[in-house]
Amino acid sequence: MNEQPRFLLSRLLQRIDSPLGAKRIYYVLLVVCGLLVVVGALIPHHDAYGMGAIVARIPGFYGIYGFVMCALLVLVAKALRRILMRPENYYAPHAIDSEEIQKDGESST
Amino acid sequence: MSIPPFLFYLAGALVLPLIPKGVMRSLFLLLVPVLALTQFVLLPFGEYANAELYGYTLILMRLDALAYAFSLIFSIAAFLAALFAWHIRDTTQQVATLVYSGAAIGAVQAGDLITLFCFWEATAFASVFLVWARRTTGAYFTGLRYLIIQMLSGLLLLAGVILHINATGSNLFVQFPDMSLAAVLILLAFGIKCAFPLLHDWLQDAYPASTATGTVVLSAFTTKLAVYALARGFPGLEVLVYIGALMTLFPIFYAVIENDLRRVLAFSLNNQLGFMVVGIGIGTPLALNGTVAHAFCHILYKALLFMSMGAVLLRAGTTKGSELGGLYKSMPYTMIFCVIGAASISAFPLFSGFISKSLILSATDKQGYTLVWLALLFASAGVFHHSGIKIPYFAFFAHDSGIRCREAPWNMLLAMGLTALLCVGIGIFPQPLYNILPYDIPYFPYTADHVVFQLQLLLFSALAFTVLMRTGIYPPELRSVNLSSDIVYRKWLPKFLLWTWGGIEQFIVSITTPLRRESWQAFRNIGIVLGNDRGSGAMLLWVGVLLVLLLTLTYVAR
Amino acid sequence: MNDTTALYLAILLPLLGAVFIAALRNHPNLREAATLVTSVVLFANVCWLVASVANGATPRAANILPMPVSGLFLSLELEPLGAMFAAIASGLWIINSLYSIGYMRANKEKHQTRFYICFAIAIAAAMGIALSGDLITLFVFYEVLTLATYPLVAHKQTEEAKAGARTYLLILLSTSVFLLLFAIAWTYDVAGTVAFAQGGILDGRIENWLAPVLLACFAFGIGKAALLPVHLWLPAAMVAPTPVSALLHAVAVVKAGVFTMLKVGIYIFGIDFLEQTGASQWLAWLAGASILYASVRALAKDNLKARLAYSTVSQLSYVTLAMALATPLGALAGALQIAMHAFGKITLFMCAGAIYVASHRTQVSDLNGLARAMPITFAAFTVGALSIIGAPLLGGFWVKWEIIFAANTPEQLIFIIVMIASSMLSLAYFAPIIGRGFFLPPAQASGDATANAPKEAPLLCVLPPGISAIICIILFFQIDVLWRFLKPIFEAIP
Repeated sequence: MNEQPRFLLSRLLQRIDSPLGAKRIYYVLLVVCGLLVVVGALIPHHDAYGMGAIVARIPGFYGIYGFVMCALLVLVAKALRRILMRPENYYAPHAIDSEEIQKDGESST
Repeated sequence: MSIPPFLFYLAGALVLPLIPKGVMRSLFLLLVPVLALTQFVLLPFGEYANAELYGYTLILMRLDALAYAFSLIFSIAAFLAALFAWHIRDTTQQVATLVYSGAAIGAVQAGDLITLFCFWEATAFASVFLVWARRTTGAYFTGLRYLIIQMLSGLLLLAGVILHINATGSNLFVQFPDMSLAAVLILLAFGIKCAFPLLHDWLQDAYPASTATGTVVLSAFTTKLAVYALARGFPGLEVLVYIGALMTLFPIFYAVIENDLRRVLAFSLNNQLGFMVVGIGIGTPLALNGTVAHAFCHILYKALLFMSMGAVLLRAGTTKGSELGGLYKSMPYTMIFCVIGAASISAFPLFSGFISKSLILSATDKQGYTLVWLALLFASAGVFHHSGIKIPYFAFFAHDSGIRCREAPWNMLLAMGLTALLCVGIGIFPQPLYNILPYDIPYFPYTADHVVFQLQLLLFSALAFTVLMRTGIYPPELRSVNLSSDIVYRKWLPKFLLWTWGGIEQFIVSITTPLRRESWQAFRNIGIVLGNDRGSGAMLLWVGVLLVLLLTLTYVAR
Repeated sequence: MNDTTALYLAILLPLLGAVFIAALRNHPNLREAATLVTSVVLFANVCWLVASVANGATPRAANILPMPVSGLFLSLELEPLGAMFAAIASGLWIINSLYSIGYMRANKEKHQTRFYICFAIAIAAAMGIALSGDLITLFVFYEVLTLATYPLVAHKQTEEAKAGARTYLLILLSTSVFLLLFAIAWTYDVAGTVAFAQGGILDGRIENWLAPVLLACFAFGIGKAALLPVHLWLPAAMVAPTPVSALLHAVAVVKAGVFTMLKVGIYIFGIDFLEQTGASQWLAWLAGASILYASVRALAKDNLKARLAYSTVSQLSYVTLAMALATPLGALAGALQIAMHAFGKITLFMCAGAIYVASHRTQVSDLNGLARAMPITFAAFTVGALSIIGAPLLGGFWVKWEIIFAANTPEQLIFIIVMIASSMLSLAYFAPIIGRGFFLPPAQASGDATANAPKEAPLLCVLPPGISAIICIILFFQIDVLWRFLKPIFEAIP
């Protein structure tokens, strides 16, 4: 797997495409998220109406809401799989799901 | 003197087969949207091109702020899609694309209900050819399902229009004053095309079944035409707020567990439509501005995402998450454009989604729909989660699938580049877009707190994704299909009908000797016609769908 | 030439043509020329009549031929409805003759002279039905039509063809003799006349509770209208060669049936009388059931012509339904349907025939990929099918429009649902033909694929459906003309 991609961009990206790189991205993300909470608490708010005005006073509300809801989303979706998931050929031959993968891509004619 | 733009597309569709395949024809396909655009882009608002037919006055070209914004973005989308499909040599797809785009623009500019209906049906008939153009058995059956549902929408519209004309004596397409039976039928017709919950399955069914280029075209027109029609006919109808909120929520769960990345996009398309429907339901000037702006931006970034996945389909041969990964090594430019599309749909500051979705969210909160506002916030995080992260991640990063292919052809890259440019351009300079919105309301999306809060929401969502990935909780991509409400007409009703049909046939056979031979044959033939030995096919199943709908209608009709 | 002469000529011309065809039996080219010339002359003659009807005249020729029963005569009279039917039948005869020549020669059919003679006589009978001034005249020509088409249905003279033709004859003759004739006699008994008259002749002359019974005798007696239990002759007649099927389904036979139905509804019962007594309410329900039942049967048929046959049964009931809605608007929608369905269905049949000529395929499931070889045929088929479905920009749309308009009362909303359901069902049985033809890969033929690859049928098999398909489109935009022509049937319509 050590062949060099022909695109410069790809070669750059390949440098961080490793377990270590992923870990670094994770930590960077953590730091940025922390900073955002701090900044969010310091800047002035001008949402003068509704729920937006209320939650703006809770430091990090948007972050926490996003994190929790996304985690929930994934967990619920994962649970849904137990009920909803069927083999790929469930509707075959009346659906495209289990049709052969096009080897050379779509023909242009 | 101005010619209705749709005539350019129709004339183009007629002339196209005469032009030799190749550069000439592709150039012609680019030219048509440009020529049509010149016919209205600088025109003052008003009504042009009226016609008399059968005692009715048809308004073929009504230009006002709402029609203008949608006509403009439809024209842009038609142009970009033509560029993206430059390399295609399939006459059917080209003709269908022209008729389809032209009909969509015609519908948006239709000033009366009869013209609207004609174009409504035309979009249905033309677009099915883009599904069928894949030329596989699965696509053929999917196209049949798609066509019949679109047709149902058209027929409900027809019935509603006739009842409306009979009751009011007017065939003008303006806001419906009250919820009469006619209005309910028309709302239902719009709802089918707008993929309301439980009426939505055709979208996720058909869009991934089209060709690499066909889906880009499909994604732009049908549903946004429905959004336009809703905004015109039912602004401020409160039930739409809740329907829209539901639409933003349920698709994101499906999107997380869906394997086919183009179907993931179809789910997120549905989710984005939800935002627009909420805006229509709220109906304040700010909310309607938000709906139009969001439709405008949405067509661009959704096309961009479908383009990038189309390029992947073309080069890698599949868009299944389970089969892809590591494509950044082969298709880095496509990857960049995909990420721009993802950032736009996720409403990152400086990208187009940010400056349009904010309007709807602000309007929702302003009108006191707190729960809906929270739901939309959740849906925003969710859409980032599956469209913003999942699509680029599983296609271009994740574990290396070993697929090594060529980068997308130049025309695809150019089309994606232009679309990406528009997404970023609108995100950074929103004012030109705001200027063409129906209402003149100043709005400033780039305030410090708004930007920071939005970034908080998105980056913490990304954090959640990363944490779940690292802990292995995140569900892997699996080759599978997920059941949805369409199982009713794809599995259960055919089975039930076959069972009852068999029973009825046997009853007839047992009492009528002369009929016997023919009846049995019919029963046996069903299997052949439906192309399936278990008999659960597309056609009989439609009989069933119909019966259910008929029942529902009978109740409504009381 | 005056109008009365033109009336006689309309019936005599095709008969004269038949004589010429018989005389020229040994010269196929001249024989075909005789058919074509006759059809063109007849059409010109009918156009003359149509023009004078459009100017408000009602050409009449009463008591021209005494009947065995004393006091009864044959009489001719032309009003807009009949003029429209005559124009359609004679106009389509030209198109169908062109097609017949292409089809019969390409298939090397036998007994072509007999075929053309019977065809001409059938047209004469259709003219007679269109021009008849009373029920007796109509009945006579109705039976002539049945008998003249029998040899056409049995044309192939195989056991299957004979059996089909027997069923055809049996059902049509027995219903007409036992029920239709009885109904006519009954009408004569209570009304003292059987002449068609504006506003009907039965109002106040028959007990209200008996009106539905009399209507039932008419409705089932007119077997050619193919209402639910008596529709079986139509699928049975599918053994006939395709031009005959086109004659049965589009030009003359079934159209004569629903035309009679409309005449009875409008000029014998009178739409107002039907509306006041509700005598036709049950018929509307039965017609609705016919529409849906036949559509479902069509869905289940894999044989292309059988599918088209059931589609016809379903579409004919549109006319009966429209009449039974008992509003002037509905009755006019029925008249429109006669025209729109004629052009749509003849296109479909001629395409089915062209497919058979070119590839000898008869089953829908065998059509995969055929459109690539026969694009014009399939394009014409698509247009015809869309017209039948009732898609906009095609003539069939206005029928759907008017029927839904006519059914727009609280008690009759159910028929709007029937129309929606029927449109969806017709889409469901036509779309597979289009989709398979254009988009599914052709079946793998072994070896001889290149040698016997189907290509477009001969010009004379492709041109006629192309023309009729174009007419379907023209009819959408020229609906005002047709509407203005038919409007005098009812003074009440603005």
